Amino acid sequence: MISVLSKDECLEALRKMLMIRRFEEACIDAAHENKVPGHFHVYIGQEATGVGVMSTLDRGDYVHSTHRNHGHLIARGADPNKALAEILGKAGGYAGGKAGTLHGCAPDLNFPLSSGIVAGILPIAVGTAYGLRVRKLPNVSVVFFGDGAMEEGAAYEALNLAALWKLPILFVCENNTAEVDRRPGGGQYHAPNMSIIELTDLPRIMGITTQIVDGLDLGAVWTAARDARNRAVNGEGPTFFEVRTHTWPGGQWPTLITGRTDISHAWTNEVPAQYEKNANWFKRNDPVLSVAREMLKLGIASNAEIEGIDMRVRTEIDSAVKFANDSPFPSLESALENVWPH
Amino acid sequence: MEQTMFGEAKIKAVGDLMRDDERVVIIGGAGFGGLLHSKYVKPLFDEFDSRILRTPIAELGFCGMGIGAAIAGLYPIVTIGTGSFAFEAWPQICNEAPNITYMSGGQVKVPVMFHALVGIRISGAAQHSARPQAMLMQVAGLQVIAPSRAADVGPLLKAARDSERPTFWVDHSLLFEETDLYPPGKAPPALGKAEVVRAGKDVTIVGYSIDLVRCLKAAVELEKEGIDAEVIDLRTLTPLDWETVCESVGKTGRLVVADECYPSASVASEIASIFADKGFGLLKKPAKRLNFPAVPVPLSPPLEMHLLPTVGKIVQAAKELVA
Ligand SMILES: Cc1ncc(C[n+]2csc(CCOP(=O)(O)OP(=O)(O)O)c2C)c(N)n1
Ligand SMILES: [Mg+2]
Repeated sequence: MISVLSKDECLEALRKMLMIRRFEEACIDAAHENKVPGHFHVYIGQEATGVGVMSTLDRGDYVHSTHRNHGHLIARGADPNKALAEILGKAGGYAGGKAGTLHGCAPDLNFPLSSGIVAGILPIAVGTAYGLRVRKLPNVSVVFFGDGAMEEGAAYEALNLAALWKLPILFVCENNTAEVDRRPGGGQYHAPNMSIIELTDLPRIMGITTQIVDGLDLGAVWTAARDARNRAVNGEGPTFFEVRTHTWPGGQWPTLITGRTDISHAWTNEVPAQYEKNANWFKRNDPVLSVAREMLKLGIASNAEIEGIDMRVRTEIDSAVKFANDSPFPSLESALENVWPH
Repeated sequence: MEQTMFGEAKIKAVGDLMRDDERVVIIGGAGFGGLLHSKYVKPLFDEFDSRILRTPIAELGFCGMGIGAAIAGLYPIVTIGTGSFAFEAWPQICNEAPNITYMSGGQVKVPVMFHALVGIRISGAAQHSARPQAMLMQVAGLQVIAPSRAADVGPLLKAARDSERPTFWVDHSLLFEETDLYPPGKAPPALGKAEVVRAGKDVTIVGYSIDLVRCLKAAVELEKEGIDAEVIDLRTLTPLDWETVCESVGKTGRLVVADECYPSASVASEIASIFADKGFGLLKKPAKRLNFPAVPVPLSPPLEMHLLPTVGKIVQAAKELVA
């Protein structure tokens, strides 16, 4: 329930969610123009998770992510110009074009890196939490990772270390395959592949507070993260969330399989004829439409206000696209910079 | 000459091993190619569906399983996928598999093959572009093979299996669609035996895997400019055939090595070191080593291309030596 947020918080959260959606649509467009080097992973369908958690954080908290980091960067407040330029490998990007989509970062926002190695980020996040503890800072470390990370040994070790020393960390496991039959042993990308049925069972027996959260429910994500952050800062140790979202039909390789989001579908409830096959996406599983509908229902915003937010976001993303396209490729000499001993 | 893609030949080679011996199994199930090549890999995976263990994302666990399964009488081909992911399994590949036969006084054999698509795959950025082969050459007890020609892959895989030694098959993500520029050698490839793919008298160019493809393309360019290059495919990195390289440099007096690894303690530096030792005095000019400079692999395409040992750089190096 988004009624836990103030009107302004709601409007800001919807703005961020739309910003992520429009940013990812711009990435997909750029890919179709062959401008995106390498393969990439979009955050469509998971917007309420990143935005909900990030809205509860303090500037001094650390944020960590994976191969699917675009949404986390934007939710953290990263500059979309620099974020998009980075994805295109341009000089104007956060890392001067060296990181690209897999390793998005915004160090000025305490978002030091993203690891493209499944589960590679978890032990590092435990380490930043330890740093905060030793430095006696009233902050937490937050790590976002996919359900697949739970298959790696590094996840087990990281959870144990955090639990053992009650470190101030939020483990946000984004299960984007919530609808997939939880039958162990399928062995396929985008399918749960654990011998346990509930991902939260593992951290719970280690003594970590756990919670399953609906990734379409912005208010639930926000409340859960706020409480977990308070516990962590008070020395009560880590929390593990499994946030359940639905696989966006275009996710396997980003194509706009459900079309460019039309925010008016929030009130027309229309499922465009050409997307009939993915009707559930429009009716239920799209968090952007779903949060907009909740806001309309509670009278937090009108159709016109929501359209206005979307319009401003689109203008901002249009200029990010222009910035990224206009940004030059990095100079060849820069290839040898930023690494010792060059 | 019939043109078989390297990728098709390797799929056939794996299929032949599996048809030949039902103890051969695949663990991992990450393809032998990228998304674009799944249509070539699919028939193999369909035919042997029941002998493929599709694993969770657990490289450390399933590489270790491959070792155990080998000890228990299977011949596992463990497909790791992207070469960088081998680091997740490093303890099993580098500190378990290669030691077991020695630690058991020769009694316990570990016939397992690890396979990974290593290398600069273009826009893989820092964490998906590793070339772990030079590090693997530091692992005593591990055999490292790197076939890159359609005619070689089948016999080399079979030889590796027959050796019953733990083997790392260094495959390259860009090799799949390559076809052989030169006809196969007369003798079937053997472990520890390099091949002179193109005979020449002016300069010796040494490569392996994707770098061999670049060396051969460079030789074609050099020929147009009147330079007759001898090109050697190392084919196996451990054991390494220093004799063939020595023999060639004995004729040409000039050496270029192309190697995507970083410069220090690399395949190229190992080849060059031959001439501080067994081949001392054979070089008429300093050897030229073309490596990827010692920086993490940048995403941005112009930067990555700037750092790669390209065909153009090989041509340039050979010309400088011959001039
Ligand atoms: C160690 C390692 N193994 C394999 C991969 C290849 N890979 C990239 S994403 C991915 C699936 C990850 O699934 P999940 O963690 O659920 O994240 P999602 O993509 O669903 O957000 C895999 C196997 C990798 N990046 N790192
Ligand atoms: Mg997932």
